[in-house]
Amino acid sequence: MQGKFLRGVKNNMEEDIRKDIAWAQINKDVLDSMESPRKTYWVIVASCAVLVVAAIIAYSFQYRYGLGEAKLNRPQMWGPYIANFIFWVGVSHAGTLLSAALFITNSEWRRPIYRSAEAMTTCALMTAGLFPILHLGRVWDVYWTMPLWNQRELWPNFRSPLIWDLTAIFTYLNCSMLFLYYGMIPDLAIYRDKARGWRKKLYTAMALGWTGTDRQWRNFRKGYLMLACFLLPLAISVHSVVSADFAMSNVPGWHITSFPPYFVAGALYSGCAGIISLFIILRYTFRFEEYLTQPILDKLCKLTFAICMVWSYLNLVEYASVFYGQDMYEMGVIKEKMYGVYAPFWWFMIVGGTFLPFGLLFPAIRKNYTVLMILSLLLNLVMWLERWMILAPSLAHGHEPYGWGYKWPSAIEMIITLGSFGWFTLLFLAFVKIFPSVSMYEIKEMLFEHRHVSDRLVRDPRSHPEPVKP
Amino acid sequence: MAKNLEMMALYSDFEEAREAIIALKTMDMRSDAVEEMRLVSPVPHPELEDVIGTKPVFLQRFTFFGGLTGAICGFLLAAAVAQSMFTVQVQGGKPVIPIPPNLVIMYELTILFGVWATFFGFLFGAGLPTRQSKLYSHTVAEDQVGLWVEVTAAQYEAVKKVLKEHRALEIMEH
Repeated sequence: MQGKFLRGVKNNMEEDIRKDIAWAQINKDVLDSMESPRKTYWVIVASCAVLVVAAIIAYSFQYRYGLGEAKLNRPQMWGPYIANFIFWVGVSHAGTLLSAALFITNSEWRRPIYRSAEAMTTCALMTAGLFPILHLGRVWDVYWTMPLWNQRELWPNFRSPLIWDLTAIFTYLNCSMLFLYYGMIPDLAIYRDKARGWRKKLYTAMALGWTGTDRQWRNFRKGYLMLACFLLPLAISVHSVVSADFAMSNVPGWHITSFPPYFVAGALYSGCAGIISLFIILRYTFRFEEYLTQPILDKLCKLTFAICMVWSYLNLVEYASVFYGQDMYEMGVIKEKMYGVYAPFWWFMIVGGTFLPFGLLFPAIRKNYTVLMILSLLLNLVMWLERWMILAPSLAHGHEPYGWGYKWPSAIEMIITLGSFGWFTLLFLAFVKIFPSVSMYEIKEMLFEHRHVSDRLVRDPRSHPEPVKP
Repeated sequence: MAKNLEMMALYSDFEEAREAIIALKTMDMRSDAVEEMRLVSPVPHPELEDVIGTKPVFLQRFTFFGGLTGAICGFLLAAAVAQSMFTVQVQGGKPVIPIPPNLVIMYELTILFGVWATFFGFLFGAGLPTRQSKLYSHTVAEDQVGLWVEVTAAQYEAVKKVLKEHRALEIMEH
């Protein structure tokens, strides 16, 4: 029985990544990929650049003529810009989940993909951070949100969830960038030894003189664990705080106690869908077939499905609570969502978000990258709609009937929304071109541990392998 | 006192390096034992701490005091701002320094300061940033394991012999 169990462990470990890849080959593959990606890489970069330029032009127009050009007015003061903000903060969450949570739980399969997931977190936050600024009428006064000394004694109001949000996002961006950099130090040292020209100077400075001594590794592993333990609650707190922007107000449809977990589940859902999209892009454009393997993608798809089920359950809880409460204002918003002008989008969000991920359970779909890419993009569309459906129907159908009013996204908002996707992808692609997107030392460690277990199994197949320390 | 010599032997795997460390630890040194020994490797290998010697890591202290500082700074920031608002904004019966909102700010700054303190603790503990040692081979970042030792002139020959006996691929000296 024990032997059978251990064979299962061994097979499970072997399938994630090929066991016989030479360590020097890992360095070569990752470093070569950064030098010469496929042409598709440049096609995607060019497409994204076009979207970004279009967004800049659209924003220039808004800057010149004011927020009215984006059709932002009472009662719909928060339009797609804020939906974008929540969406991108949400996308950032899965990176931390994959990296920190799976590190703490010692999940081996995170190793080849965690770097790109962390990069996704940072790029998504850098995109999210733009939207509150784009949403300002007087953007030149953005620094007023900072606690800076001033003659008028005006300070940010720390009682406001909006300032909690600012603090949380600032902390999250700061910590996720540091976490990303910290995990890269040993890989930067590898590249320092190989690179030439400006890259050599950059990596030499960033590697800080790392050589891989036992002292350095000891501190590194401990520090990584500490950072992971900080990042995980931080990620959860950030989206809880984002949900507080809504839940702390008394707008019908927003004042809901289950909003923080609902936001966190939605964030993880959209983030996992985002990672699937980037996984496929990276695997193809950087020729990472050896490292971003099918078994890892399978696990990622199953994780996405599990999170989707949590999200669906929280949707049910939210609407069931309102239904059984029968508060007339809350019921008004739900009816607006179900039968009002936004109903097609709401139903697509509910049905698509709940049932589309069932496709991830089929191996045939998981192995067809074109279908999987479309599915992951659809899931992201669904999650964007979810954020918009939180905003628009509630603002359209408040407490006072004379204040009701509908709004559809304006052309400027839609162009800037598309531009944000271009901006995010551009940032991500720039990162993976400059820095190693697959962690070389973690893959070596993974292979080493596989061998460690396998060797012990060969020597005594009936004994448990020694636990491998993280 | 004679100047110490530095040597680094390269091995193809951890097992060979482990045997060499054990041999160096147990060799009959007429003078003092080997001054200092370090393992340089492409991946961490905590199992070798048993033979090379466990050294404490003090990172948690940085993390703890960083987090504590963050919590205090968070409270002071929110409280100071609330206090200054008191002079210009009508409070309407609400407390001048509200505790529940301050907790959110304290929580975030605890993490922010804790993370940065952990990072600086890591730099301090790992001895970074530093100039790259002259005894360094890029192969230890690829697939080889380096055993760095500091020896006196009297120990030099004996140590070199031990390193060679354990199938060192190359011995670098400085």
